[in-house]
Amino acid sequence: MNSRYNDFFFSLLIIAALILIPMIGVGVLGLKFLFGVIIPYGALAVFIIGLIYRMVNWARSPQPFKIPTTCGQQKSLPWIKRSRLESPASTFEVGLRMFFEVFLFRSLFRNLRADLEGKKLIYGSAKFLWLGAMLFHLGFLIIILRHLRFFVYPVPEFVNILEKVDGFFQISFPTLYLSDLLILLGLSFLLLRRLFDAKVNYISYASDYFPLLLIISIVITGILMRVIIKPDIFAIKHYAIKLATFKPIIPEAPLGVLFYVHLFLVSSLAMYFPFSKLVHMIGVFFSPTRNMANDNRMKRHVNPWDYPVKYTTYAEWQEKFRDVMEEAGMPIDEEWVKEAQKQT
Amino acid sequence: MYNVDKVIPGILILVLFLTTPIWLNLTNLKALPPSDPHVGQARMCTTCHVSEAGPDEAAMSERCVADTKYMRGYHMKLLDEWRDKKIRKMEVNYKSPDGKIYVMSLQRTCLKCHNDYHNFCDRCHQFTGVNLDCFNCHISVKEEKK
Repeated sequence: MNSRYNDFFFSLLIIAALILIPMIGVGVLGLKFLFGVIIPYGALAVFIIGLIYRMVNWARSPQPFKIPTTCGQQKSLPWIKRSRLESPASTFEVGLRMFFEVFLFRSLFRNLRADLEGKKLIYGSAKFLWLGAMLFHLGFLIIILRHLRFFVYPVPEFVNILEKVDGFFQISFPTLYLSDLLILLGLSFLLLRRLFDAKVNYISYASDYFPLLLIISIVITGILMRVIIKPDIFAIKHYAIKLATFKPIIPEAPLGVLFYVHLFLVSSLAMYFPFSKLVHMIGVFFSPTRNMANDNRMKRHVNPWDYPVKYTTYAEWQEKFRDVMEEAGMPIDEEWVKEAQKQT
Repeated sequence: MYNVDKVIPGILILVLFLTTPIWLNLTNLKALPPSDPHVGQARMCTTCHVSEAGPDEAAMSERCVADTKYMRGYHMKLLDEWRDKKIRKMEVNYKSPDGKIYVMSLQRTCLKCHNDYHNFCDRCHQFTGVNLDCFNCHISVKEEKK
């Protein structure tokens, strides 16, 4: 096997272990309380505390320079047409640019591919990365929101609406969710791209393959539970609500090992999240190249590292050497002394 | 910490978003139905559920098209299958795995025994947020009586 796939197989091995752990833990040893209550709570705690830790850590890092990335005309003279989104001049415009970046991935939409044709370097449009990312991220968001139907009673109306829209075409039965299909398409593309595009493969490591494979496994176990191996959904909802209201129970009805595998994989994702590249979900807001307004020429950016420097003004220096200067016949600047006295 | 005026609200919004199920549930903790679907449901279906203790699994599997466990998970698949066979292939009868013959009909077969739409169908579906459209066309027994 080619060595450039080592990281991929390593990730695959870890995924297999993550699937085997709950299979043995619940299926053989019957540790339902550990896998059904302790690990999910622990994962949630690690997830939230980990994210807050990362945020505080970022917020404590000084930003010595004003470094927004721009690709449009800066705000200057009123008759020069400027680009609000590409070179935001105010906090509001920064927010606007951030909004489009977070929800529509504008920077990925600008993705280019470079090809050599003989000696000519040719740039072409490459939208597939943007499309795959959109499918994956939006699919994930919709799936997470849909899961509220397991955790909240009565089910919020917007979740019902989301579900109806998601199953709009009523393909197959139980209705196929479009978000399930699209997230699988997106994830497959993102994975295949890392495997077979030589340039991307070259820069892909286990930390790139593992999250993709982990999320793919979560999606597949979820779809399997919906379509083929159906656990008792009534019992699951009760269990989930009790979990959400901090009165954990272990349902008497057998939930099936697949459910615990799904739960354990989600817990793993939650615990892995704050300490991996996945934390870009929060990091994008802390990225100095994105969260700063391009107003260098309007406001002075003070380096927070700056400490009070000890310096000597000319007036002080003159006072110190006044006698020597007068003796040597050097001119004394009385204006400076007056100015200095005024200021103090 | 820098930009405290933006970071602290950001952290609060994130935590609020991540704990949505917790605070959404806080308002209606008492409305939660009992965990066992059969509590208070002894007379849910008088044909099979003869004792107050709960469903008689043996009697149920004898009467119903398939056993309870299968029906709980896969009733929608069976109904879908029946719909296809009856409407698209003009078949009338369904032969169950144990060899009995049933008429494939929601109203004339299923609803004969499971005649309490509110307690039998709606209870679980509403609780788990499943939107079913069977009764957009079919008439549930209760409505028929009115």
